[in-house]
Amino acid sequence: MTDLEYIIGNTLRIGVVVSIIVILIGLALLLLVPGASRYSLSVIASPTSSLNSSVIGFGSMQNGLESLDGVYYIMLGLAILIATPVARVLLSVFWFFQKRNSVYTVITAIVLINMLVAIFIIPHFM
Amino acid sequence: MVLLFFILLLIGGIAAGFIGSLVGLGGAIVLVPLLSLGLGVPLYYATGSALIATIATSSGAASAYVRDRITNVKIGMSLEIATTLGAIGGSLLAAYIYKIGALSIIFVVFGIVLLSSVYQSFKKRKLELPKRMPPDRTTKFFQLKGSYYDEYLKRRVNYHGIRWMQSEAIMLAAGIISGLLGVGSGVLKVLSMDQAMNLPQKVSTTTSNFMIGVTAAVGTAIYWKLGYIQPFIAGTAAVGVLIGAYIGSKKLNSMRNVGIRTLFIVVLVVLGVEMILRGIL
Repeated sequence: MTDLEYIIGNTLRIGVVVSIIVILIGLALLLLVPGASRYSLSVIASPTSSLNSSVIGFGSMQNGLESLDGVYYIMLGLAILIATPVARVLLSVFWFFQKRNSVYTVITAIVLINMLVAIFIIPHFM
Repeated sequence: MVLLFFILLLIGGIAAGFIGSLVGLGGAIVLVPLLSLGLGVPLYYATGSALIATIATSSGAASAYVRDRITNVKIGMSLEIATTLGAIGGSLLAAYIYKIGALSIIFVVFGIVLLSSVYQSFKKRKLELPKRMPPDRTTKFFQLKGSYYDEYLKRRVNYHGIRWMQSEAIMLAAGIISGLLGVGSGVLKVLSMDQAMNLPQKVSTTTSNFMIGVTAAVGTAIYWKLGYIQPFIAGTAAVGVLIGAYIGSKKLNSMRNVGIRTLFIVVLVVLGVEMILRGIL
């Protein structure tokens, strides 16, 4: 049962389940452990909040997670969610390569390169 | 107050995920107006949340659709070349377009394109499955044959995709629109596979669902850096979207293709009007 649909279906499912759990932990921490976050709930949960992804750095991620700051758990969950489609493209490249399907090895490799360029290189030019 | 905001975000997410998973789009059509007009969220947070919601709808629904073999994985991946390239191009163009003040023109043009495609979709409204057309050269080269078991028709449906180049061109436009506006790429993807490739509606919907996560992921890094992702808003909406997409993905295959198409036509009209209004206002 190691066909591509099986691999992709499971990759997506694992990504979704893990990210939703981490986001829910983050939301629960914000609501149940007040004071653990360095930001107050009225700032975090305001529609016009000044807290966003440009303020929260990945550098302080470990620190935030260790101090049970819910904001960092949510951001980690969102990052896992974003990484999930990348993972399924990566696995597809390997699968087609192994099956010696050259047309689709090239196609999926191009898609993967496009994604990596967009995620890691383009933001530096903005 | 926080609790009310949380519940409304969650409900909005569920609605977006449910509709998105049935029609093949990310749910920005529901989330952006709800968040910005309904809950007073600034447009940049609304767009950022919609982009996250798109990835959530995609992964949430596609995990079921791929397993049930309704999604055509090869067709999806071969078309992702154009959507990812387009999304990169669109996001690079966005700053320039914004500077010369042409963004509102693009909203209006996109809205008109959507409304003018209503007629083509409407013509096929009574067809449960598309008329069979002979395979072409791209059908063979890109291995565009497929089949799925239709729970409504109670039989296996065989189909093949045609006009790959034309479909790829529309996908490029879908990617650019996604990079520029942050919304609307799912609708163009469904149109591309429905009109150009001549696929059954359920295959178009679920393959679009499969693809939009990749297109959206291309845009998120920039949005992330620009600070468009607000953890509480995007996180709560994502949880709702995943719940909605799960419910929708359980329902799709037992629906009629005709029913899904009707829903899609409604979405086309609503989104078309929404885009024109955003351009004018």
